[in-house]
Amino acid sequence: MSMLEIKNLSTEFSTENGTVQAVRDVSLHVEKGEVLGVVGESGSGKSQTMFSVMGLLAGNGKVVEGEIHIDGKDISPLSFKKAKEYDAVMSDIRGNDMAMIFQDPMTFLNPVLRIEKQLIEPILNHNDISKAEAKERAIELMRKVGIPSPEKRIRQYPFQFSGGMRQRIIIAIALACNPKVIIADEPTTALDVTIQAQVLDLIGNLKDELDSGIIMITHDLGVVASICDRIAIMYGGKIVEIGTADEIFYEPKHPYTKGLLDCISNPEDLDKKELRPIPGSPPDLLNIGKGCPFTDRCEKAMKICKLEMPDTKVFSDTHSCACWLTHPMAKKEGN
Amino acid sequence: MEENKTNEIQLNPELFEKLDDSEKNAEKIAYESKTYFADAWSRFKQNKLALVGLTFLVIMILACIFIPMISSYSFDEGDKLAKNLAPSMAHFMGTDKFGRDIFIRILYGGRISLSVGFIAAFISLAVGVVYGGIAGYVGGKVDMLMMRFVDMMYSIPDLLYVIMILVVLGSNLTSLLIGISVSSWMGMARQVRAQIMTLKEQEFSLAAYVLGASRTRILFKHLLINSMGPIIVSVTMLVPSAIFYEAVLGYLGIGLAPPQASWGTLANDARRMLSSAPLQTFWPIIAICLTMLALNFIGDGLGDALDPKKK
Amino acid sequence: MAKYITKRVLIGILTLFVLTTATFFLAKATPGSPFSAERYRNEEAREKAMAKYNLDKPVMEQYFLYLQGITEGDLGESYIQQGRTVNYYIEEGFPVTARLGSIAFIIALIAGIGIGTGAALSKKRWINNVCMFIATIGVSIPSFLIALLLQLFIGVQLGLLPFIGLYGPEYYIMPAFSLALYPIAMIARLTRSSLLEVMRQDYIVLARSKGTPYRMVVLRHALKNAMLPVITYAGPMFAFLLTGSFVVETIYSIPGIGATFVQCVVNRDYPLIMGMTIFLGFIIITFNILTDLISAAVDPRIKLK
Repeated sequence: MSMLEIKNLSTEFSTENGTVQAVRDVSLHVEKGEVLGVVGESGSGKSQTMFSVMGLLAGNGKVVEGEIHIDGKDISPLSFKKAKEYDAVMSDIRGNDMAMIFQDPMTFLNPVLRIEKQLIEPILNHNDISKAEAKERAIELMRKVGIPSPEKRIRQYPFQFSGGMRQRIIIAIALACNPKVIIADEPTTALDVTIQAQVLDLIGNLKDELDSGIIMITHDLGVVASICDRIAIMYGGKIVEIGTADEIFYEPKHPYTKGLLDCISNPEDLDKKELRPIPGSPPDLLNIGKGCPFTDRCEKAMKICKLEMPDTKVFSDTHSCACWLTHPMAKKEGN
Repeated sequence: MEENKTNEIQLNPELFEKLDDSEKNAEKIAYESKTYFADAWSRFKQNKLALVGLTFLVIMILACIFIPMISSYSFDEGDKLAKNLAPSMAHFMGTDKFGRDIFIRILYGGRISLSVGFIAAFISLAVGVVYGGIAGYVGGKVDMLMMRFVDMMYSIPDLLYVIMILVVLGSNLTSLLIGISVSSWMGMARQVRAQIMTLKEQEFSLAAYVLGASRTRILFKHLLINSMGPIIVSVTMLVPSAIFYEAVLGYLGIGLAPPQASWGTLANDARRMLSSAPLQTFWPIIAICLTMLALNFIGDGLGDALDPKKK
Repeated sequence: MAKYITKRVLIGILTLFVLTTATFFLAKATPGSPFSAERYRNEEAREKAMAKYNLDKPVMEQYFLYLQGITEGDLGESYIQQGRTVNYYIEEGFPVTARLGSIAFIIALIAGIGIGTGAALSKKRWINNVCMFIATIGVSIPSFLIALLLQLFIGVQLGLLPFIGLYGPEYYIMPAFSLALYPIAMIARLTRSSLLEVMRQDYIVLARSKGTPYRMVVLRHALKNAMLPVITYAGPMFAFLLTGSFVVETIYSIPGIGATFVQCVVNRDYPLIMGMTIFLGFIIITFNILTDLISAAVDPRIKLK
């Protein structure tokens, strides 16, 4: 059974200018011990998908459709009649079965609380143990994520830590209760390149050590290449292509995926391949049309693309893609 | 998923023709953008309380200017036969112990109170902007000394200055204005300095310098224009506080000397009549309350409207 | 830390010194003397009185004698009520004012934080609107108007509460509420805006992602951070309440130092004006320093050098 299964999830935000359809009909699953990469530009809905799963959407956001199961347990917001019941169930799930690693280590730690308080909080939330025991476990966690002299540093405040060290603390908080699913929301974006590599190494090691399913959200295909088993490509609130890492890198089907791959610089063949940026900018999810969201930026766009969203076509057990170019009627030369 | 959807339209090869570039709108903008002030005004208009406040203030100002000009009642000469009258058609708010029409006296008082409020706010603004601007732009030791002085001024209760200045210079309009301004420019100075300090670090200030703009030009054009929003809001908030000081001093009997009347002194005059004719106290109080409320509503509305982050 | 406190105290003393000097010379510069020849028919009595207040000495000498007195805790003697020292007035008036001010302060803190939190966190729109309306009214209507309106309606018209003096618990209700209203409104606004700001912060999301229940997120993670601006405001505000409201005390005929100060200004009783000003300045400066220390204790990021 999948650790986490998301079916037909849609999430909307109501804003001053109208309703924003941030997540549109997204289905995903993560298996035990697997790393799933979710790749897309900012605003593609990848983070909001995960916030929907965690039940951490901002006040104006709402899941309007879909099911979410964690380890077989139904945690879809729509399955609960009252918000209170959902909150109560999610308080047990969050930090315990499912934890999140966040993007910016500078802003996600509470500046006026000691590391100790912030780190033992999830442990005490979900385990019936004393503060002293929780502290011992917290120190153990800090050691695990590679923070030197944790006994001393646990008494300090976030501002006394560097960015990379803070990100390690955030990872330690996520690991506190050995969650079944870990969602890492762009964990390296806000870090220096050298620190990025260290943090990625850390997550890679954890993958081997833990039995959890990990979801790695990023806008950088290069990051996922090294540690992900499967990759989902999101665009305009939808998953446009999903497959194993090999399938995505060597047999990309969707023009957007191909475009993303063209954007990666590879030091080995710099002279062979020129970097090709994708023209234009991601679609505004406010008043989005019926057709494929990528139409306006797609070199191979056809008339049908603007009119209707394509079906998802399955290529293998693991590989599928939603693009009109894969339709039998599409002319072959473009493909 | 969306398996059934494609059935809704008939697929034909023509639909699979290449889409022309002209039919794409890669850089479409979902909603129109407006200029800073148009945007601010549209947000200000949405704030009902602020609009009510603005309307009230405009009516109050116009009434204070024009009604005494055309009224047959005088503010300082009473009708000895019509003392302490209750409100009637002839005397809208009744008369006081000298038989003077209270409505007209309230409007005359409004002239003084409103003038004190606005003039004092603008003096504070001018002093604060210049002082804070210099401290913020010059920086270093000068800044430290100047701001220490502000800290010092800050730590002394406002009313003490005003009272000391009134004691020394005598109870008249000028010393009242000086007193109130002296006690309220510091907040503005601090704010302007803080604004300047932040803006100084930003790229556009450096860009202007590189393009050859002179130091003073940068200070007054770029920096101050960029700090307009918060400064306007502070000024709107200074006006009611100046009106308040004037009223307090008037009420305590250390403000303006009679026969000059402000809302504060009118309240003070009526105080002795509190048990026999409480309405006489009520009118000036309500005039002050409503005016301050209106100004605060406007200030709040402007604060929300001029801060682009508060969308 | 010790160095920071020393620095703050030294600056405080310097401020007091400047304040003393300014009030002294302002008072000297004021035209007219209470010991003018018209008021004393007997020249000898006049000279005796002048000698008592050191007025026969050169101004600079008077100044140094005055400073010397202050360092010994002696603020001088009243011109009008001869024989009564400034210290006497402070000892009489300050406890009354401090009691009333403390009650008002406690009301303001509880009501202000309560209303502000309610406005920020309530899911119901009308609760938010009511709270903010109260807060706007409170900020817009100065204490002395509230005091007068309460006195007028509840005291005079309805006769529900006594409105002169402070002779029992019920006498405190109207003056304390009049004093507290403005701080209630300010604290409510500050609490609301800073709590809303804090609840938007990323670390709140992280706290929720740990499975901490919403109520605990607010109590443990949000309120402490949200209280920082409130503390910065509440410290000096407490000092102002302790130093007494000139008007509220005058309106309710409360024998505190606020009313005494107004009386001595009306009477042009210079030693009292000067002494009171210095005393009030002292209280306020002390509280400013205390506020900074408390803020530093709450927020570890404030570096005390």
